[in-house]
Amino acid sequence: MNDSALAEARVVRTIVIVLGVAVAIYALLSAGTVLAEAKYVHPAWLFPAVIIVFGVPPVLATISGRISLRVMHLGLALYTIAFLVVVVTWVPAMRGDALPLDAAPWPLGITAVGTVPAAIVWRPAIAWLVVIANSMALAIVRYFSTGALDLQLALQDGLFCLVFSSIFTIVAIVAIRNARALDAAALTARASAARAASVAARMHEHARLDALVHDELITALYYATTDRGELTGSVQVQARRALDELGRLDAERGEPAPVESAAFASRLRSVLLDLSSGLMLTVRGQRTALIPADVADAFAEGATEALRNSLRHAGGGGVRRHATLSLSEERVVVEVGDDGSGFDPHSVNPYRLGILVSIRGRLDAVKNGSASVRSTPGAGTVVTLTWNDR
Amino acid sequence: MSPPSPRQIVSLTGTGARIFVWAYFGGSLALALWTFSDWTRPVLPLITLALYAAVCLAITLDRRDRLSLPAALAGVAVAPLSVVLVAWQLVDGGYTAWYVGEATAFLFLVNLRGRVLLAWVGCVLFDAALIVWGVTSWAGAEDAILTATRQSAILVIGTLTAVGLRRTGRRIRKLTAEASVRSAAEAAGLAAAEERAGRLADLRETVVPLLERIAGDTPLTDEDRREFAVAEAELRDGLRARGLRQHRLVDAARAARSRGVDVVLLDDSDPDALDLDDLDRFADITVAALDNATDGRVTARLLPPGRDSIGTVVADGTHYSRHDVPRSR
Repeated sequence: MNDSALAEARVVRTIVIVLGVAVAIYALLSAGTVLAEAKYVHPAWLFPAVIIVFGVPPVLATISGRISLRVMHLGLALYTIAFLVVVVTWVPAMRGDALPLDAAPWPLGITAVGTVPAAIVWRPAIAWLVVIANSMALAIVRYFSTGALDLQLALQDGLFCLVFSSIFTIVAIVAIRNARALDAAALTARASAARAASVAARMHEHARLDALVHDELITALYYATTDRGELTGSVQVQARRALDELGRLDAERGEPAPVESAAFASRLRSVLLDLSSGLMLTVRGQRTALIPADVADAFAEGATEALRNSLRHAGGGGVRRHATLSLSEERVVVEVGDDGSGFDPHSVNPYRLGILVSIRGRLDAVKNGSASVRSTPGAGTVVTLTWNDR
Repeated sequence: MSPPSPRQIVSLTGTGARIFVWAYFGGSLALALWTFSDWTRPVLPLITLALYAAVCLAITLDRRDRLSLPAALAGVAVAPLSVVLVAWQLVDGGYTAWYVGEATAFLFLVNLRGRVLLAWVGCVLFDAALIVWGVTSWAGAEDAILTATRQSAILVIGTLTAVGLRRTGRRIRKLTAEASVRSAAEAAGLAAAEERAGRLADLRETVVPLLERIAGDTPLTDEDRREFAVAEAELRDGLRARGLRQHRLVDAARAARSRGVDVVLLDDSDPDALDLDDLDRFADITVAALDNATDGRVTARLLPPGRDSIGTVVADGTHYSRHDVPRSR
C-alpha cells in the first residue's frame, strides 16, 4: 500500500464496505417495490438496472481489499454515472401505463446509494452537484412516471431526496477530508522522523568508524612506527586485522539482526578474552528480550576499548581486573574495571583518545545508551556501559 | 487546520457539519410548511419544529467529538416525541417524510457522535410510536412497519459507519506509526551507508596502502616508519580536530611533521557555532606557525564556545610564539 494515502485508502475501503452492506440491506427492503413496479418498465431495462444498482456496490465492497485506491475511484465514478443513467432512463423505459400516485419509482428510496460514491471520488462541489442532479432527476421521474398529475408531490419528494441523501454525502466528505489531513500530517511526521533518524545514524556510523580508526588503524600504524623488528609478527597481525575490519565494513549491507542474551554474553566474553586471557566475565541476572544489533556492537566495542585502555595504562602485573555483565528486561549494563594507577578524568591526555572517542562516543550514538568513567589517581578505573530498554 | 486524530475520522463538529445540521433543518422546515394543509391542528407540528430547532441548537453548540449526554438525550427523545405530536394530526394521505426524515437524521447524528446505544434506544421508541400510529390511523400497520424498518436500516448503516470508521482510525494510527518507523529505518540505513562509503573511500586511498605494506613481508624502512607516523598523526587529527580538516592545514601539518616537529591539533569547538571567517583566520595563523616551525611542538586548539578567543596557536621550539585568535563577533 502506498504510505502517502494510507488513511484515505483505509477510509475509502471502510465506506465502500458499509455502502455494500447498505445496498444489500436495501435490496431486500426494496425487493417488494421493485417487483411491484416491474410491470411498468421494459424487462430489457429493468434487469441491467437492478443488477447495476444493487449488484455493483457489494462487489466493490468484496474486492475492496484487493484493488488500488485508483481502481476503486474508477469503479465508484462509473457507478455514480450508471446510477444517474438508471434514474434518467426510467421514464423512457416505461411501457406506457403510469404508476399509481402513491408509488414512487424504486430508485427514490435509495438516492444516497447513488450519491455517496461521488463524495469519495470527486471534490465536495462536484459531490453536491451529483446530489442535486439526482434529486432533480428523481423529482422529474416521480412526476412523469405517475402520469404528470401532481407536480407539487414530485417536487416535495425531490426536496426530501436532496435533504436526506445529503446526510450520507456530508459524512463521506468529512471522513475523506479528515483521512487526507491525517495522510498529510503523517507525511510530515515521517519526513521529520526520517531526518532525525538520518542524522542519528550518520552520527552513530561516524562514532563507529572513529572507533575503528582509533582501535585498529591508529594502533597498527603506531606499533609499526615504533617497531624495530622485535614485534614484526604481531604488527603484521594487527595490520591484517585492520584490513579485515575495513573489508568487513565495506561488505556490510543493511541492518544486522538483534541478538539473544546468551549470544551477547558469549560474544562479550570472547572479545575480552582475546585481549586478556585471564579475565573472567561475570554474568548477573537474565533477560528474555533480544538486544538490538547496534547495542550489542557498541557494548562489544566499548568493553574491548575499556579493557585495552586498562591494559595499556593501569600499570604492571599486580593490577586486578574485572568485567561484569548485568542483564535485566529494563537494562543491560557492562562494567570493566581495574585497581591500577587510575587518572584524573578532568585532565585526560589528548593522546588517550580511547575513553573519549571509542567508549563515550560509541555508547552515546546508541539510542538510550550511555557510558561513564570513574577513576581516581592511584585507586583504579571503572568504565560502565549502560543501555536502557524503554 | 490541525490534523484530526485517527479517532476523529468522522468528526462532525466542524463549521461545515454545523451548517449542514441547520441546512437539514431548513429542508425539513420547508417541507413541513409546504405540506401545512395536511395538518388538522397546526400547533402541534409547529411545536415539533420548535423542538427540532432546539435540538439542532444543542447539537451544534456542543463542540465535543462525543456528544454530551443532555444533547444526546434531546436528540433521541425528540424522535418518538415528534411522531406523537405530528402523526395523529395528519389528514389521510398527509405528507410524513419531513418529520420521519428529521427524526432519523437526529438519531443518525447522535449515533455518529459516539452515542450508539442511546441512538438505538431512541430508534426502538421511534419505531414503536410509528407502528402504534400505523395501527391506530389511516396509514395501516403494514406501511408503518415498512417505514420503521427502513429508518432502522438507516441507523444500522450509521452504526456500521461509526464503528467501522473508529476501528479504521485505530488501524490507521498503527499503520502510520509502522510506516514512520519503516521510513526512519530506511533513512537511517541510507545515511549510515553513505557515511560509511565516504569514509571508507577516504581510508582506502590514504591508509590501506600503508596497512598492506605493514602486513606484507617486505621489511620496513625508517622512511616507511616516518610515513606511518605522519599517517597515524593525521588520523589522530581527524578524530580530535575535525574542524581543522582543511587541505592546506593537513599539508602544512604533514610537512612540519616530516621536519620532526610534533604537531598537536585539537578541536573543542561547537561546529554549529563556528564562524567560517574566524575559522579561516585561525587556519591562516596555524599554517604560518607550522610553516615556520623547525623543531619542538606546535599546538593549535579551537576553543569551546563562550570564550573570547576562537582558539590558540602555540609554537614551542627554538622560537616560542603564542597567538590568541579573537572572535570577530
